[in-house]
Amino acid sequence: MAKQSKINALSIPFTAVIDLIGRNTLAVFIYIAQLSYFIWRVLSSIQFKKLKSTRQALNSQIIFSGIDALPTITILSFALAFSVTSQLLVLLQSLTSEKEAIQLLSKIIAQELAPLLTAVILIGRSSSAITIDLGNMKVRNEIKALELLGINIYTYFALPRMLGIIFSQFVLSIYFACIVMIGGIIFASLIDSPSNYKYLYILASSITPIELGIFIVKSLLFGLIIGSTACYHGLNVNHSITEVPQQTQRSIVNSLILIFTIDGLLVAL
Amino acid sequence: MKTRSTLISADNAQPEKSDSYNPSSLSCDIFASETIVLLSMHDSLIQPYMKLLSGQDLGISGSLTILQKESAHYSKKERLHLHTKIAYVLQGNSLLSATNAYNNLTLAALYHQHGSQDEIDTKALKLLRQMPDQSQLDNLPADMSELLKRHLSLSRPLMLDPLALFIEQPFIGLSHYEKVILEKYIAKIKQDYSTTLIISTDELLFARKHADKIIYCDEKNVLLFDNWESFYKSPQESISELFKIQRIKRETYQN
Repeated sequence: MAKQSKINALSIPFTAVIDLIGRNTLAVFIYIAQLSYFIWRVLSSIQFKKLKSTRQALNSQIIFSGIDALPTITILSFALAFSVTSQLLVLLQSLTSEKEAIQLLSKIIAQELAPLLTAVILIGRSSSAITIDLGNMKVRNEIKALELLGINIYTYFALPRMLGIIFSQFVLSIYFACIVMIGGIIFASLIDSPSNYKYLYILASSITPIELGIFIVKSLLFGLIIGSTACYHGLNVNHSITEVPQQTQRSIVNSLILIFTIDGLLVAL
Repeated sequence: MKTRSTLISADNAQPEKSDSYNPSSLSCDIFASETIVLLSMHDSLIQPYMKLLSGQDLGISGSLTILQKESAHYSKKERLHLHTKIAYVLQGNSLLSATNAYNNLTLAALYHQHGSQDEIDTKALKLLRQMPDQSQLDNLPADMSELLKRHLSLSRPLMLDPLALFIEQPFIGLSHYEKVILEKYIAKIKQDYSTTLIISTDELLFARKHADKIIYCDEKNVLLFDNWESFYKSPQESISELFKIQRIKRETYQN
């Protein structure tokens, strides 16, 4: 009898844990399905005739997410060039050949770190701003009022923001990668030896078209995820102002999780 | 003989139920250039009918025809287009908070390409000239007077030349002076644009002056009156109560 009750006491928490894991896994799949459906709705709402009216919003988004983020990206990329790239370059050249050293750096820093860190900055700066902006507009009925004038909210509100983020992520990733690599080589030359300038020529020839393709796809994909997650959560706000910080937090956390997961999947592929 | 065209026709149409209230079914025909005023003691009783007649709510029973087509048969895309013909102004201020008066006024027309850029500009400038508080036109809505915001909210759909314009509680929260100015503007819209106006309000004086038909809702009934006299003489108890409340309000204001 005592043994039976002991088994029951153990089996309840176990099933609860299984239940919890099951629910959370299901929630993740539902979230991904909803986000994918949202992206599909936004992209399928593109009407080239209407794009003219959203150009101003697209330009504003590019200025805010791209141009305004330049100082932050510049400082961060120079810091990384000095603290990581130059140090690694000096260290690696004593361990391996010149070409392998620069290929290794290009793979880790330019292809992996540059899009990832740019994405993290964009999530912190723009993703949260978009969610708050759209969420507040939703609460104040600004979006509903325009919908009642026949305006498609996906075309007018979500599309320019998503395109702006995709474009900004793509351009800033290239900018970040260039500074971090070229700056790193220059710093290594200044710290260690002027002969390190030769790596600039080796760098140009070490990047393969496939690596370049992966870099482009990754940057565009990261941009799509950041933009769509921000818009999805912003438009998910209903009537209460208290939902805005909740959705903003979800938008930031989910973007980060998705970005790192996709980065891991791309590396595995 | 020229007959008036029917824009909206409801036959025992019942709006969707809300948590606290089960609306009755409504039968009415709304013709072009008419002014219909929806009156009630509580705004929450009118709103379901405003949403139903404007095609936002499909209704749960009966039939509703909007622009010669059954409301339920409009696809999502068609319904979006329908809103350019049957426009709806929400209660209070729902202007885009990040743009000034001109951009707020033109954005829907530019989106729908309702005319060339010059035509849109001319139309917008004409409407802007009629606005009160002209010095605030370059401000963002947060820095505009409430009256200017209401004027802009009413003018924004006019850029699309709608056949019908639904206006939710236009006078709520305004001072007596502001109400008079806004009332004149609504009368001007009616005169200049010959748009059908469907307005929800609790202002009996407005209904008396401007309504061609009155739809009255209380918790139990929804009644259609063909003119002010029939509404005024109605034996309905809740209508007498509404008049009594309005009288008290007016006396309080005068004192």
